[in-house]
Amino acid sequence: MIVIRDMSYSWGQDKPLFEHLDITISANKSILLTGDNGAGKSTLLRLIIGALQPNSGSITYNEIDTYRPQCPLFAEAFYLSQNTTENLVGISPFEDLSIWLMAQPPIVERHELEPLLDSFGVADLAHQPIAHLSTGEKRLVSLCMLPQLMHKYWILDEPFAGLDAINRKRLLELIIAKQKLHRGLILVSHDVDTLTHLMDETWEIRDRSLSRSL
Amino acid sequence: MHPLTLIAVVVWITSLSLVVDSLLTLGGLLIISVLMAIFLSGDYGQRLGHRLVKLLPLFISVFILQVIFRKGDVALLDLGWLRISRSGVLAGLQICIRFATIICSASAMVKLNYNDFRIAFSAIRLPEEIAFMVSYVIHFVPLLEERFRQSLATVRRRGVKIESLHYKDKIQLYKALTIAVLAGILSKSGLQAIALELRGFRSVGKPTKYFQQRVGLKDSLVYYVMIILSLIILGKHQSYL
Repeated sequence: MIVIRDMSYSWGQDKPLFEHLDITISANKSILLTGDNGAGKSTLLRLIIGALQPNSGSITYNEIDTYRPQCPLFAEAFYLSQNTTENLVGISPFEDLSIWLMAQPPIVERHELEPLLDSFGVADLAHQPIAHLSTGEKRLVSLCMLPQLMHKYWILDEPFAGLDAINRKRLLELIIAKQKLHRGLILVSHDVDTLTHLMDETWEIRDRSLSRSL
Repeated sequence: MHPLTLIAVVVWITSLSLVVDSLLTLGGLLIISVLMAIFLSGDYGQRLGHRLVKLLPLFISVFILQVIFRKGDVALLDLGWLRISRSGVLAGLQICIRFATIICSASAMVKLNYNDFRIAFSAIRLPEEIAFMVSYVIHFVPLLEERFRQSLATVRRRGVKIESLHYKDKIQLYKALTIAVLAGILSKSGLQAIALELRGFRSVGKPTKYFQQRVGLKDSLVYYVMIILSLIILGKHQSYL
C-alpha cells in the first residue's frame, strides 16, 4: 500500500503542481489516472516511485519513503515510463530482457526470454540494436515482460501510446487478466472512454488536486 | 558576457594550470575555476563537490603513484625499500590540482548551448562545424553520466539489487549498460546532425543573430585581467617562458 500524506510538489518556485495531496493507493485496485497535458500525471507517478522527492509531506510504501534507496517498492511493483528509451537498457531487446535474470527473487528463466518477445510480436527484433528501433517497437519491447509480472503492482505511464490496434488489444487483454487476479495497477492514459469501465477507479488531476470517480 | 569570453577564460585557466608549477598559483587557478563552475553552470556546478568527492579515489591513486615512483633529491621519508621525496609529493599535489582545475573549469561551460558556441566561434571566424563538434563534446560527459544514472535506476526498478550481485554479474551488467549508453548517444548524435541539416545548418549567409552579441566593456575587462595575470604569473616563473 502506497500512502501519500499532505504532499506538495512544484517545478521551481512559481509552478506548483500539487498542494497538500492525500491519497492511499491500495495494492489490489486498478486506477486510471487522467488529466490535461502538463497537469502532472507523469510527475505524480515519478513521485510515487521515488524518482522525485516531494517538497513537503510524504509518500511511503510500507512506511518507508519511496525516494529512499532502501525502500522495497520495486520488489512488489513495476514501473513503465512514458519515455521508451528510459525503459530499456542494453544493446538489443534480448540483452534488455537478459537483465531481468538478475532480479531477486527470480522472475524469469533464460529459455523463456525469446518467447516473451513473441508475446508482443517483436521476436524478430531480438538482436537488433535498440537505438535503431522505432518508438513503437521500443514500446512493444518494454511491454514484453508484463506477462511475467502479473504478481507485481503495475505503474504504467501511457502504455498505449504508439501502439497499433493488434498490440493495443494484447495489452488490454493483459490488463483484464491482471484484474481477474486482483492485482492492482495505476495507469496513465488519455483514452478515458475505453478504459474507464475496465478500471476500479478513475482519478483526474485538475487544478493542482486530484478528483476521484468510481 | 560574450560566450567567447567564457571560453577564453576556461582555455586560459586550463593552459596556465598545465604550464605553472607553483602550488600557490595552481591553488588560485583552482579557486577561480570552482567559483566559475558554481556561478556559471547552475545545478551542475552545485553538484560539483559531490562529483569531486566521487573522483577522490582517482586523485589519491595518482598522488600515491607520484609519491612512490618520483625520484628526488630531498627525502622526506627513507625506509630503504620506500623513499618518499619532496619532489614526489609536490608532483602528486600538482597533478591532482591540475586535474581538479580542468574538471571544474570545463564544468563552467556546461550551460553553453550550441548557439553560444556558434556565436563565440563566428566572432573569431571559425566554421560552424567546429562549433557543433565542440558543443557536442562539452555536453557528452554530462549526458553520458545522466544516461548511465538513468540506466542504473531502470535496472534497480526491475528488482535487481546491484550491490548484492555476484562480482561477475556486476561486471557483465556494467559492461552492458556502458556499451548501450555509449551506442545510444553516438546514434543520437547522427540523428541530431540530420536535424541540424534540416534546419538549414551550413546554409548560405550568416543569420543576423550572430551580430546581436558583441564584445562589451565587461568582456574587455576580463581579457585585460587575463593578460595582466598571465604576465605576472609567467613573469614569476620565467623558466617556463
